[in-house]
Amino acid sequence: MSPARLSKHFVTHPASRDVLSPVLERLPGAARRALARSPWATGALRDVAAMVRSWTTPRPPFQLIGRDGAALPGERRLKVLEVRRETPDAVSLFVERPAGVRELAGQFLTFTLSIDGAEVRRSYSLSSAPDEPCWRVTVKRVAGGSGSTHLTERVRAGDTLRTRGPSGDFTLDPDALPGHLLLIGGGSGVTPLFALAKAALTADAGARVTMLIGDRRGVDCLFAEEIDELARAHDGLRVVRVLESSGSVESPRRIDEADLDDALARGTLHEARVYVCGPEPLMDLVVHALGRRGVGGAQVKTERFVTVRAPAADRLPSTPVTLRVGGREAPVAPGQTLLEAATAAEIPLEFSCTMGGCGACVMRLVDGDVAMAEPNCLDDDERRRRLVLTCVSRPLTDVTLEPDD
Amino acid sequence: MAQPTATDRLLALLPPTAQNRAASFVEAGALVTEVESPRVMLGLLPSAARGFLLQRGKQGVPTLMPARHLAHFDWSYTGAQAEMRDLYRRAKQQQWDAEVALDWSVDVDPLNPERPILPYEFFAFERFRAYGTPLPRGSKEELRLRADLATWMLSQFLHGEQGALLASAQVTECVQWLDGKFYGATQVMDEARHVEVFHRYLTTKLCKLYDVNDNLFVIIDALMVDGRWDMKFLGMQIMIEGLALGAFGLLYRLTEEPLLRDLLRYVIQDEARHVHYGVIALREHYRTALSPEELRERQDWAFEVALLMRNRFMAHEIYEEHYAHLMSRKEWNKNVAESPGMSEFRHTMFERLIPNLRAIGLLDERMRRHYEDAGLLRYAGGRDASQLSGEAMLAELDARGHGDLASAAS
Repeated sequence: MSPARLSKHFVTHPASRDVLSPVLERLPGAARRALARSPWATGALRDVAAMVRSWTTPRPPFQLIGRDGAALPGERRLKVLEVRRETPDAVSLFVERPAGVRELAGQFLTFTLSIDGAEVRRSYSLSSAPDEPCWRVTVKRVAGGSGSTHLTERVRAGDTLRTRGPSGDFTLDPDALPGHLLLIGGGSGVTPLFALAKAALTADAGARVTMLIGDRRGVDCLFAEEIDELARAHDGLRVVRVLESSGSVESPRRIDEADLDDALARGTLHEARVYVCGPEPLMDLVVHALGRRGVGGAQVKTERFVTVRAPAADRLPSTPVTLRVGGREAPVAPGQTLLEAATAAEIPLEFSCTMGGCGACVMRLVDGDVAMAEPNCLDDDERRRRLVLTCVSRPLTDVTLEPDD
Repeated sequence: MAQPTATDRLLALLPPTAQNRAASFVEAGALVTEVESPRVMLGLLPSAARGFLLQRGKQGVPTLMPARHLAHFDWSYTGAQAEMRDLYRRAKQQQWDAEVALDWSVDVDPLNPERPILPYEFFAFERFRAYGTPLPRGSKEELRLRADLATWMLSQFLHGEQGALLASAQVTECVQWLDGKFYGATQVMDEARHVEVFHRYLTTKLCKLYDVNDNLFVIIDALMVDGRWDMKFLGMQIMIEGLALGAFGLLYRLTEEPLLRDLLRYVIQDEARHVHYGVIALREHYRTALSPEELRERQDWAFEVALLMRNRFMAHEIYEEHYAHLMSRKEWNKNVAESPGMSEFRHTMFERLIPNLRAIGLLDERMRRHYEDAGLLRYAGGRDASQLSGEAMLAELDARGHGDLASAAS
């Protein structure tokens, strides 16, 4: 029996294999065979090897157990200061604002929630403006949604929330306000729009802002009173509410092209900047209608609220692969994301939301193939350019990345 | 600070990592002098070699322990035991599902100063000022150390529960009473659940798991390889479960972390039944089935192991992680032994343990003198496990007040 096979057979600890093999190699064949037959001798050898090992390279007396994403730096534990019920199925959580962190209106936070023993991550837009004393996220309960149910039903003042961010580029530069800011949305999509409206009016009390809000029934409309109050205080803010219940049951009223034309008529087309956030059908309708009127490209920003799904485990390789980036290499364990693997190897990569929602971690795939959690914030053009989000990418092969310039 | 001995001075010449390892060997050797009864010492020696010298529990690989015991079959199904049957009935009714009973959605932050797992007073932080680490109350380092100490304790609970899972399965094979086997089966289930909940708490909430402490390893090893069922019983059901019950009770009373408190509440109720079973089974056996010589061996064994548990559970894994570069192992031992939390821990442990030793007949006149000398006889008047249900124990703990360490006695 070869030393390698002998040690593999009887010495389970890879560390003791390192120590044992050189010793075993020097033994004559007969001695090796005798050893292999005696469980007592191999057991004793293993003990000796482990002891030598513990003297030369001590292992720490504990192991750290990683949680998905927990190995990544930048998570904060923030205290919930107040829970306010906004509508029957939505609450606002007022969360302490960490010192020295300044967000842009329209950004979102990512929470890591522990639900029934499992960890889930969910992103929610801030409804507070950057000059407010604490952060406020407003969460609407989605039927069957574990994250939103947890946040709307179980979180109490005094609890802490594991938080990342703020992240995202659905934002407004307060120093470069457009001539006409048009905010279109519905349902929980009103959340970032409310923050954007407040931020624009704080930067310039006379700014021309139009909010076009669609909702099913009056009671569901988030921030209704606060938005009305804002409108009373600012002549430049016009609020148009489109309630489904104002139509008939057969043909409920939804935001339509006439509403859009009406809103756009408040200024010239070229000075308008449009932010759209709400249910998918509404967003598609608005983006298409704007395109037909020649409003598109950088003038229109959209934000989609979606649940991200990781790629099926059976698509992923079952053995480690190698990540190459910036002249360095890191092993990627099965199931690990590129970002987690790079961080574990102390290769610093940019990231923020860890949910594929903000684009902070985008890199270009030079070689290899990955599976990304979907949906995410990359568009078709970016995918054609082989851009990937490292925070939600799991490698299918060895992978080489480079920064996207 | 402790006065250095010749050994200490010799150790000081070694580099720090080797110093620590050598000190643990010295401590292992000290076992020979600490254990008075030569017979008990000889019995523990192989386990001590495996635990202290070979560090089998700390190699990061599974440990195989040869178990030699006789499985007891009775084809006539005799041996009715009313008290055991009653315990079996209660155990069936009190089964719980950790998945449903506990709110695992609670977000546990071990560093949250408002819901600490252990109170500040538990550890003698003031003493560490002398070593140049002030650790002000509420500082990140102080909270980290406190959280690690709690994690260490819970890790040892987990390892102890794994020992209990395997030992209770062995004992279920060994006992001659059918009702004992029935009851034993529920205990195996209980222990599995305890392993489940502690493991889940440690891995999903605290995200850290400490190795098994050498001293705990030695006791578990000694029980697993001992072929005599009553030694497994004595070691696991009376000594380790008694130790655990004391520790669970203390932690239940002190912790501000709601999930852990709930978890311990359930575990304590199960454990109280386990110790009760140990008392019933051994009381009978020790009264009728042993020669005076054999009984004497059990008496000595229980006494020595009780002292080992008192003197040796000193969180050395925490020492290696945080303090090995600052003080000697000996100084650490002294500081830990004299911290209020550990004093209270020893108090609650012996309060549970000694009355049970009395109930099973291991506290005769000869032993009373030994316990007297060790300062432990004052616990002998307490209620044993057959007189104290889990509910009563919890009510007593609740009445003592929450989060208060003032009653430290020993």
